[in-house]
Amino acid sequence: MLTPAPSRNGSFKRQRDSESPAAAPAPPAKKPTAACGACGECEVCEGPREDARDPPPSILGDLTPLATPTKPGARRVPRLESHFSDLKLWAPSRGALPRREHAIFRTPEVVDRILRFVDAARAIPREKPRHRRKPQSLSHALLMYDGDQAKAVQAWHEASVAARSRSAPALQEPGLAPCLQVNKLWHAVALAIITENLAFADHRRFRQLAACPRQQRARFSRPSSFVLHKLSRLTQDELDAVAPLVASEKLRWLELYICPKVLPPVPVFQHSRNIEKLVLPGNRLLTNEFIMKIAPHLGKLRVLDLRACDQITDGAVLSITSNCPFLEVCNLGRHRNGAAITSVSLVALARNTCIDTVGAAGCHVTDAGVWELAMHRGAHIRRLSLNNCRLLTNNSVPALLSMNYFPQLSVLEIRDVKHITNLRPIVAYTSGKRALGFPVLVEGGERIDLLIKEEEWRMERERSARVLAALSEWVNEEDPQD
Amino acid sequence: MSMVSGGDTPLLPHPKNTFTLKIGLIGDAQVGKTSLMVKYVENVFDEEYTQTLGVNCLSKKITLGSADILFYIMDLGGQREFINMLPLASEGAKAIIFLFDLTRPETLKSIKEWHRQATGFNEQAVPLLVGTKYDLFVNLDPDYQAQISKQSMRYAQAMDAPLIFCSTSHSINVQKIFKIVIAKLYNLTMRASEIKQIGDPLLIYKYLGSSRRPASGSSTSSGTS
Repeated sequence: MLTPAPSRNGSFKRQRDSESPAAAPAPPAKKPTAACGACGECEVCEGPREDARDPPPSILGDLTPLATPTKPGARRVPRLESHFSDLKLWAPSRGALPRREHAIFRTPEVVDRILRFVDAARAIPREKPRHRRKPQSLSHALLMYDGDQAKAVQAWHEASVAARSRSAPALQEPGLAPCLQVNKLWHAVALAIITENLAFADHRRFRQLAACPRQQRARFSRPSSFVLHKLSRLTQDELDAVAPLVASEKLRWLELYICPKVLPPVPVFQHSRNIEKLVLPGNRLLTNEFIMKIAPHLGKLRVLDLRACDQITDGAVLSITSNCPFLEVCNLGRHRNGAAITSVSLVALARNTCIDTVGAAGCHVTDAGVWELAMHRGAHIRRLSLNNCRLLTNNSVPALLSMNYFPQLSVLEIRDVKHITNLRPIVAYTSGKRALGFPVLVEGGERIDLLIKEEEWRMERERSARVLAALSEWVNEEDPQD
Repeated sequence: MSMVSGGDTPLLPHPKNTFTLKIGLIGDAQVGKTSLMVKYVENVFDEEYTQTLGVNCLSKKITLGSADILFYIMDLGGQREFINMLPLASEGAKAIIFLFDLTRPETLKSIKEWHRQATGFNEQAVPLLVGTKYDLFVNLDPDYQAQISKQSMRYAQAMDAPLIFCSTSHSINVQKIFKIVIAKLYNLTMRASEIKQIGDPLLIYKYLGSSRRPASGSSTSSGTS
């Protein structure tokens, strides 16, 4: 029984022997066809005789559970995509084989890049952006949606529901949290990335940060943004405990959205001279004195949001405007204490800053202030919110628009400005802009929206009359050619 | 200056409208559909005959103070094999111009069938009945002229279509055809006097083609460049 086996092996051996001196470094797959055909039954030639595609022994490496990519063979170059998609952090069969991740998962720079992509999906809690303000009544909703009953009813329903239950925006878990638990390297990299943007909408989580031990804090990065969203029970002590973590030259965005009982400590501003966005709406403690203290450190400020900060008056705005030459967005809108902000603020903003968005809702600004804004910054103004500015008249925005003083205006809010009755310049401006392909949003509230609709209709009639007159004229021209 | 209404922004231009009007030219082979189109759009006349294969189209823009008119003229080859392309020329057209050769009575007779087919695809379009080659027609026997004129008037009446005799080579009534289209589409008062004398290039439009259609066009609002 044993006799045939040696002969087979012998033939195999012989064949290899005969080959090896000729092409020793070549892989066995490169056997010359002649030799193979001669052996007839050798193991290598079993199966289809496609010598050119004979797999090299190294192909076995691809099949092992430890699916790290093999060095591509000379003839079989895998596509780049498959190369990467095959990468695995862990071997698929757990336990049996030693855990060994690919080298790229051990390179801090590469891990950093990968985790940053994961982090890009993280949402910072913020005020929900809206396209339009809520309708004031069902009839207003109908007006806003051009008589589309279904849409109007829905919008009105949403508006009335939202008024009753102010639901906090749903917060997504930071996508990087699980990465903290992979290994030391991953923990360090993920922690550095997570702490670059500190955002809290949950009081408990913020307390955990405040209670964080010192050695842990040392591993945090200096954040570029610090956002607290509606932490109404936050105390000054808790905020002060975190302040040293936040203050740095890297900080660009500081936001305490409706955190009425706390103020960011002044030293934060002394250490963070690159703040570009300061958002403190709904703060009851914010005073002129505080603004005057921090303004000298806000030389790079671009966005300032002080909505519903009732104690802020013209004085604070003056101190801001004299210290923040790059200010672009300034919102001073309020429901109470409107008399504290007057045209003085508008004039200061107009003369000293790069302002393009002004929110002065509910403030006692006058036509003269708006004119000053138009004279100095008119060509750059993009958004104007003048809701409830009861001192404004037709001589403000309507007159200025008719003289084309705000050529870039794209959002105009004039709800409940009872002295504005001349909507023709506004309608002419919006229709002209729309014809050029630039959308313009005018929020006028029910009364003004209705006037706008009427004016649009009137202008449309005039326009069609003009067109018909032009056509009539052409039809009745004498034809020299006929 | 009547275009500028008082108090508007001086720097922002008025939104200007372009009225895009598709017009179909339909009729037997060699009556002069393509010639009429080319004459109207480019103001040239070529004696040589070129058969239209399928559909030709040209557009002409007329710039007025507060609106533009864009005539989009489609001319269907007159051979029977192109009848399946009739929808291309007639569907969506604001006006359909039925052409016949004044020197060939059988082309007038065909109008009946063309009209029946085209209105099957488009009932809304303003129909016009246009007799071509008036320059040749006017030299023919007066009895023949009278006969053809009366017959075409009867057709025009039946189709409720303005009737126009034109000559592309001699530029007679070419511009009028398209002005009548506009006048009929928008219910405008056109003051050009009618020509009803047999032997003259007939121009009968006042009481024809005004019914059934509302005074609305396809106005596509577009920005001024």
